[in-house]
Amino acid sequence: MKLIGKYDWLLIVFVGFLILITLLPFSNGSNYNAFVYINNEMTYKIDLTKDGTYLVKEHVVVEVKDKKIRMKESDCPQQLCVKMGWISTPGVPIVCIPNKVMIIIEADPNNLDYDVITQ
Amino acid sequence: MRKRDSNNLVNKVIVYSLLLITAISVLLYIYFSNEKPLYYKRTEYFLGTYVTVNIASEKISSVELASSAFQEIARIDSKFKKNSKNMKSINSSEGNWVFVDEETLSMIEACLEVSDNTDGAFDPTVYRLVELWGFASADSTPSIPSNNNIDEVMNTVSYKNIIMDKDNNRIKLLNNTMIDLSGIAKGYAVDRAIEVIKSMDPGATGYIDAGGDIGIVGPKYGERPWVIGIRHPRSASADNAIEYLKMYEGAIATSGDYERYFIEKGIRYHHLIDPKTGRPARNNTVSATVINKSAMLADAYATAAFIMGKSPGITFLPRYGSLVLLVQEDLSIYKSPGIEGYIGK
Repeated sequence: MKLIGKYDWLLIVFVGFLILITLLPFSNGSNYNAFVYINNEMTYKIDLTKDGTYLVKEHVVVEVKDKKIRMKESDCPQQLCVKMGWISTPGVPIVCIPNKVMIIIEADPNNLDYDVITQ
Repeated sequence: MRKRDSNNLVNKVIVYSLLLITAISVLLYIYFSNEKPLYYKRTEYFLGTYVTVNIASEKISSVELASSAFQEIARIDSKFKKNSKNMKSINSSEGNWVFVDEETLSMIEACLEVSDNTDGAFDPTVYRLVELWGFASADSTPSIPSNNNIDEVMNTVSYKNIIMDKDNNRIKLLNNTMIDLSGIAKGYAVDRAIEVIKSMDPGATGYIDAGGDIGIVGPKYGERPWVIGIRHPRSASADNAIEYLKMYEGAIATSGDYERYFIEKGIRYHHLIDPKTGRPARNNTVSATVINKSAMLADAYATAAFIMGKSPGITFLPRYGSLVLLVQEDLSIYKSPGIEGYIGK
């Protein structure tokens, strides 16, 4: 007499498989993006794992390199956004007030060593 | 034969029960491990900077809470910005009494108190100087003004030119002085937005960040502190922190020379103008952070702390509920006694 039959084994394997699937973290492509907002509207989603230079608006150039992003060029007088340099966390957005352009990074909050920046 | 059948049945029941219990335990585990409240985060332009509301509630929709917060922030922005009807009526009063509402009066009163407590290092009438240096608007190009121009404008700058008649809800501005509340309006908006959120759900948690003026709504997931990074004043990355502070409540603000500045002949000219000299404050301090119960006061005292630098006066600030952290030019850090309890991440 067998305690567990052939089909029972199948069922156990199936349930085990289901459990494994639920517990495994999902990885759906690149989860490291920057969002470019123009006039408070989300206009571009930029993959931070791919280096590149983007013209997001006339005279406003954004650059991605080594998973970091910066405002490379802007025609605003004080260049506050360009002076902010590179960002790689959601702690602080890059904002160009005259051009109404804002760059926000989306990332897993559990991987950060702080939540937000005071400046 | 019959006995074997029933044995088989018992075995099957045991196996299936075990499978069922395993499945239920996994479901329960997933359910409870996800029980932390989820944060809703939204960033918009207001008050001449970015404003982020990061909020979670177990009672009402976080989206609704954030919308109400932004509504209040938008109201304050339009009421206290430089060319608002409210501010224009005050600044065009030409030395006559002008009636102001309770809210405006209480903000001016708070300003005057900080000015008094910091011996004028914070001054709500400094605006004309900031404008003269070209730092007042993001659209202007800053430059060094002539000494004559500075002296001329200096005659109009002093918080002592603001005469307040609280009983009759009115103020008077002497010597052609001009009040600007748009600076501390950032902190005030944070304080008010938190009040609005708390009135809708006292148990809501999260924070509001208006261009680096941060107010805590409630601890992260109701129990953990929010870790605030103080921007490294000399890093090429704006999101690089020089120090970390853990906060469960209250507010924090920072003033630094790294945002609005220009460099001429190797000298850095920044937007934090000392009301006593009419020129950018120069005392070896490059960034001043203040923790206070109120974001408005944290902002005002941070400005004052930057102007005062590491002077004997700075040791008085804890008396007014403000803990200070100064970063010096050589990146050494001065801390008020009492701030150590916040340091860490």
